[in-house]
Amino acid sequence: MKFDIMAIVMFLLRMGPAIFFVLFMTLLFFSFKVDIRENSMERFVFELSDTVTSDTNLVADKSVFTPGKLSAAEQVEAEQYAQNCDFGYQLDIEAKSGPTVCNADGECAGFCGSVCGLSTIDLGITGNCNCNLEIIGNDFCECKKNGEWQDNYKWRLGYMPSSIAETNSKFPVGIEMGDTALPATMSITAYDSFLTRISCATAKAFYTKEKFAVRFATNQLPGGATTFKRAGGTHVCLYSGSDPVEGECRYLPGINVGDLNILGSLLGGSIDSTKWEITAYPLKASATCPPGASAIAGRDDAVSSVLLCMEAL
Amino acid sequence: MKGMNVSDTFWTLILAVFISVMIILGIFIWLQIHLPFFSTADPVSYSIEFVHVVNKPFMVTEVLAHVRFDDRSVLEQSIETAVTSPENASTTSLPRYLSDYLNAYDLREYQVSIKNGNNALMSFGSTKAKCGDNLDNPEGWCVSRFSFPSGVTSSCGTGRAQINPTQLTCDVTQRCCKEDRTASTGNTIVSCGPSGQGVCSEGERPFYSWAYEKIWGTTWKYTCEENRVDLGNPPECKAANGGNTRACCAPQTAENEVDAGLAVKSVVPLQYKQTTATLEVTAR
Repeated sequence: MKFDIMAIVMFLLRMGPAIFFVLFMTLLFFSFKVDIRENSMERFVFELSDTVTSDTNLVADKSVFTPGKLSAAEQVEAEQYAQNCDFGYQLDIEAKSGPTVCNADGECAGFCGSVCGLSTIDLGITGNCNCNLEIIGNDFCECKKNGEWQDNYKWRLGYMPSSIAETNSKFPVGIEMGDTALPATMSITAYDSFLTRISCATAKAFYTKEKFAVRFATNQLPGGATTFKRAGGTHVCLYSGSDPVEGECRYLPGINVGDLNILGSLLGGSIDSTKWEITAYPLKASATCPPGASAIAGRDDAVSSVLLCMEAL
Repeated sequence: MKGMNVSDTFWTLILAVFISVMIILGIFIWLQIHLPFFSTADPVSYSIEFVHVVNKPFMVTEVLAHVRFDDRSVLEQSIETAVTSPENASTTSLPRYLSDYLNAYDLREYQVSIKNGNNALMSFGSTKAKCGDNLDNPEGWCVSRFSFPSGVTSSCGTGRAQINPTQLTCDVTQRCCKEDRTASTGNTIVSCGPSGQGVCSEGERPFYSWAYEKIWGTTWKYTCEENRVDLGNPPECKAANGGNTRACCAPQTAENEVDAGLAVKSVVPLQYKQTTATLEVTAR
């Protein structure tokens, strides 16, 4: 049999419908898009807004915050009134009414007590409560909070560390002022960070009695973080040497978690490793990394502690 | 082809066809992903979004329930307005107070009404993006003269007329458009929407939409001009004005936005003896 050009043409003609059918099916296949957006972080922000604006530790009526309660809440540790395992948050509440106009220091005592939570008011520029003199415009009240002068009704609850991802939403709220309410904005920033992931894995391992692993790249580590450990009391923090890293703490009471030497693990692993995994093991008896099966808590065991082990991938 | 037998030819052909199909498929998939008219006009697309919470009007209402103007709370003034009238209840200044209060929130839009049944005793809204000579209730919306990607827009659209107010004006890049079904734009006015609240209008579409329609034979999705509520491209508009006014556009009122799912209304019942009224807040 010889090379037959007609046979080739006929072959292609017969193949043509099949090819077009494949193309048509491909068109249908790629035209169909299922777009699923879980928006879990955004959903958390809305849920948190509902929780916070209903919490009688913070509000007088729904969505109307009480200055005294907010000042008290600023002094307590973060995440006490609401918490989500996967995400941390920072909450800023600020009045939209601007500075409080005054003519003398004495008129600012109420402002200073409400905004800065001052129990002892020391009037004047050298004290902690002052009517700031302006050359142009009205004089306004200011008070010292954490060593800095503040001239507006605003409060901040929670931490804001370096994050892997974050989202922010603003909500219209009020601030109780006498028998009325000032218009204010509540800004909630939710974030996903190295700290939220490792602390959440710890909590899940403790409560579900199953091991949980967290993968991360070295560039997702907060700068200077060398250790993850309990900061005494109710919180766990990332430490740089012996000092906590600014804003890198989470509320995690009642869980005995072993210290994780991040720097030691990094130095002990391969110098080229950029991807790492931290596994949280629920333990019934003390053990070192990696724990033996006999030390890991089962369904019917009580979890005595959580061990964190870090290894290069 | 000397030395090539049938088997060689056959498998060479199969390989050539396979490679050709792969190349065509590759080009096709690339077009699907990158070209705008593929990605926007996909015929079967299904989107699931788990969160669409609109809680602003409820939070605003909760705050207003705590707010006090002059000698009475907002709720008290609202009840007295509903039972008597704004004049008898001495609440004629309530809209101005509440507008000043709500403007502090930087909401994109809001509308507050006190209603007794379908009778609106008091109603006011945000003046952001509004224009006109009636300062209490501006009649027009500011519309950009230029929009991307459609280019320079020539008019306010069918069913709207350009006005030149002297009180509340727009900036130089915008024109003031007032909803007016009697305005002459060269197109026949055709009502559209579930309750006929919309008008079939030219809408906005990118400059390459005509090429898309020529090639693919299907119609481009027309969107409404700025500051109008988009009610889609219903059949009654596809047939109107030779197919040039396919966008169904309704005035940007609170009711139309709620109907279109763009805004949410919070309703507070106000009850006093035999009178039942409502305080309604729409915000977004």
